[in-house]
Formats: sequence, structure tokens, C-alpha cells
Amino acid sequence: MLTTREDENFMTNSPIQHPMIGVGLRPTHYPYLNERPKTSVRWFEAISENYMDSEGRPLEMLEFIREDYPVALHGVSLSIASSEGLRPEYLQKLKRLVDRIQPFVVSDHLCWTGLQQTNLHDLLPFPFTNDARQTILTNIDRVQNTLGRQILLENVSTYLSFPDCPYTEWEFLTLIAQESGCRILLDVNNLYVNSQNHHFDPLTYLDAVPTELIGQVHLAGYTDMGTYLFDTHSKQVYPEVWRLFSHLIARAPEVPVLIEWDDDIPEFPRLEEEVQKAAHIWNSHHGSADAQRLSTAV
Amino acid sequence: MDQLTLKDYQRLFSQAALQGSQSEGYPCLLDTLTPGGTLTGPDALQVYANGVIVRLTEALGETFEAVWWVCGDEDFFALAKHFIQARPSTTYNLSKYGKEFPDFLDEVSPFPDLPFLGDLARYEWTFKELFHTGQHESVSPDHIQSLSEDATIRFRFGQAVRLFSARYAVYDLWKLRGATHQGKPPVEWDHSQRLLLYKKDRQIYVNEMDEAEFFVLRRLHDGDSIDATLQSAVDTYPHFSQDRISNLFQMVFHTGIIQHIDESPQEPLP
Repeated sequence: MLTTREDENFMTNSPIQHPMIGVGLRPTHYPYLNERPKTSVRWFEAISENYMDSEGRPLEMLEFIREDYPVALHGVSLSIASSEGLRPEYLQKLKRLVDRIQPFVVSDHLCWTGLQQTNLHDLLPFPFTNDARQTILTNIDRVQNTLGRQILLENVSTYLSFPDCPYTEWEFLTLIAQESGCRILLDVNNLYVNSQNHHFDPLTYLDAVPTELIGQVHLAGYTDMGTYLFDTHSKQVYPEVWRLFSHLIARAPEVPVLIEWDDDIPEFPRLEEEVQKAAHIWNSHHGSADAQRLSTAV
Repeated sequence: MDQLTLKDYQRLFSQAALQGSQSEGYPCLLDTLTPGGTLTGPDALQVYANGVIVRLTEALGETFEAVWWVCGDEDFFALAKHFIQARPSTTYNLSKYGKEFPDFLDEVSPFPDLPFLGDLARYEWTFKELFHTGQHESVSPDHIQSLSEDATIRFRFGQAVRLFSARYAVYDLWKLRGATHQGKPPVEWDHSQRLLLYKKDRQIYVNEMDEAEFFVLRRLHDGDSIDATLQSAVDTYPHFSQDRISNLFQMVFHTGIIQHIDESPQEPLP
């Protein structure tokens, strides 16, 4: 197990007390982070694939960050809903990275990303059927057995859906977590995007997912394309997403929260402003006493 | 969705994402879905089709930055789209997409006045591979000093070393990437180039080499002994002087490209 300095200075750098609010680790910020600045960020989430095939600078930077912070590994290519099954090479490389970095969370998306001969490199929708359910359960079992640990799966934004499925998205997500033993990475922005694209009440979704199944929360910004909302991760978190986050975090104080910003990435201090907003909302429900208690528990 | 299994749906969707409305089963696929927002069915599928092209083009652009620079946006994006449709990604890692792009550029030869594009792309792929390769441990200077003059010596090069040769001066082109230019790139590129790329202290370095030097490094890299290599080099390049050979070996040890030295009893020269 890697030891980290975060154990020593956890909760001491930030003016606001909060348990676990992090940001995505992006190459744009490597030069800034290389100077080991004091940050109000409690952890980083790294994109697994950026480090699985590299022994060069990216991996060196990830290990450098890992010396000071907890790290979550978040994949985009597991393709857990693939009817072709999972790539053995991918799983082995992910396991090697997990063993090396010792992340506190390993996650990916509840989606498929293409077929082995035509990988589309996108988080693709699928129908919420029992056919898909069986495929996904088999695949999750294989991942968790290979890694020897629980994984988290994230709900994705979609721009089409399938009528007459036996399950709603939130029913399917919950069922998969309950039956597989994985947990949910709940992306509140994706939830909101889908509520607008597919015309449902986001609170219905939010309230239907048992909080004990939620292992992490993502927050990000979308782009309004006029005819649909597009999950671009290129903006600040919008007020309607903050409101949903507030509703959720009021009953899930222990869940680590991540600010995602992947396109038009701002300077690191701007990201920290989003962290502070999340912290204010968290504090409005739970206050600093809870934060201190939770910080020692993480 | 009674009419399609997950497997069938994923096959039809993949084809539609790359081939659009001309793909097999496109009408059937449309029948199974409800478009989001106020999109039409074809528009909803097009969101994903556009995403594939954008993501893979970005990946190519990141790796083949100099090819992009030489071609300009419009031509590079058209080339990328052509390549993506001809050679769909089979890798799980987006950043590993494009290994066949240099050969593709040679095959389609898109611009007769830019014959070096394939070589330039090949250089950029080599550079990227080296970037993601870990730093090797170099053999120590003490070990070099202790080598027996009577032994047959072979070098094992470190993993973070690449030997690269091209018909055109692509390194000179690559160094200019990003600079403003109109028309042809402002550099003499119509001559061959031989390069040693290596990592030292986790930094990438590039040394240009002449033909004889490159010949020697190539033979040593391939596992030939020093004696056999030098004999062959002198036979092939009669003007390859002792001073140049001495300078070359100083460079070899200074750069740290040798990871291990094999010594064995001397064997007769071929």
C-alpha cells in the first residue's frame, strides 16, 4: 500500500471543512501540480487508460500525485455492456495499474463503447432489458474477480432511448448494483441531462437510487445544443445540477464528490472554485463537525 | 425491444455510427429507438456518429501534430475521416489509435507535393511510443572501463532507444511544427535522414547521424558484435575513420543508450 502525505495534512489546507471533494487529474495541470501547491482538493481521479499503456511521463506524474493524495481510477473503455465480453488484455493491464497505484475507488461506465473490430470510443446507450442485464452481470463478475475488488459504475448521458424496456434507467442501475455487488458512481450532471433529453423528473431518479449503493458522485457542466443537452464537461456546474446535488448530499454525507472538467479546461484555481461551491453545499447540510468526523474515517 | 438482441443491436449501431444511413439494418435500428430532446431519429444517431469522428480525429491530431500542421485543418480533417472510415479503431485505448496512419498516407499519397507525409507520420508515431516507454538503466561507466580487449562484445540497447531512418528530412519538418507558414513548409526536406532517439534522465533526445554511424548503430542494435560491426562498416564505408569511430562510441556511452554488455570469448570474424 502506498503511503501518502495526505494522511498528515488532510483537512488542514482548506478554509472550508469538507470530507472528500476531488477533481479530475488532467495533463493541462501537470506543470502546476508539479510544484506541489497547497490545494483545497482532497483527492484526484485519473483516467485509467491514460496510464495503463504508459511507463513514461504520465505514469510518473500519477505516482507523484499519489504520494500526496488519494487517487481514484476511472475508466472509459471497460465496455461493461458489451455483448462480446471483455478484453482480457484490458483487464490485465487495469489490474497491474490498480496494484501499482492502490486507488481508493476503481470505476467505469454503465455502457458499451463499441465492438472489438470497430471500437467507437464513446459511452454508448443500450436498452434496459434482461438480455443486457445478464450480459452486464456476467461482465461485472469477471471484472471484480480479476481485480479482486468492488468496482463502481457510472450512469451515462444519452441522446436516444429505447421504448418498451422492462426497466427505467434508475431501476436498471439499482438492480445491477444490487445483483452484482458493485456500487454506483452517480453523475448528477448526466442524470440531469437525461432527465431533459428523455423527459422525466430528475428527483424521481435521484430518490429512487438507494444512497447506500452510491460510492461516488460526479459533477460537471453540459452544453445546451438547442435540440438536446450534450454532456461536454466543458462548463461550470449549472445551478439546476447544484440543486440536485444538494438534494442528494443531504442524505449521503459520506460520499466522495468529484468535479469533472475535460474540455476547455480552466486554470486549476478555477476548478478549486467549483470545489468550494460543492463544499459550501455540503457544509450547509452537515457542517464542519461532521466533516472532521468523516475526514478521519476516510 | 423484442426484435433485436443486445448483440444484434450493438452490431447495427456500430455500423450506423461509421457508415450512416447506408449501413445494414439502419431502418431497423431507427425503429428500435426514441430520439432524445427534440432530435429526429437520424439526428440522434448522427450525434454518436459525429462523436466517433471527432474523438478519433482528435486522437490522430494529438499524435500526428506535425502532419496536421503541414496539411492544415481542412485537409487533415478530411484525411483523418477517410482513414477512420477505412481503418476503424480496434484498440481500447484512444491514444493508441493511428499506428497504420503512416502506411495509409503512403498508400493514398494525398498530396503529390508533400511526399514526406508518411515518413513524417512514422516519425511522430515513433516519438510517441518512446514518450510512453519507461526509462531504462544504463550500463555504468565503470563497467565499460573494465571490458576485456580480447572478448567478443555485444551491446543490448535500452528499451527507451529508437533508431529511425526516413527518405525525407522529417525531423527538420517536425521541429518546425506549429510555426506559421503558407504553402510548402519552409525547410529543405528532400534528403534522407537518420536519427537516434533516446531517453536520458526521463527526457527525450534526438541525435542526427550520418549513414556510416547509423549503419554501425543498426548492426549493434541488432545484436552483432563490435568487431564484426566495425569490420563491416569499414568495408562498406572506406572513409569511416578511426576518429569518427572513436567519437561514435563516445557518443554511445555518453547517451546511456546501452543497458547491458555481453562479453564472450573472442570468436573469429566472419
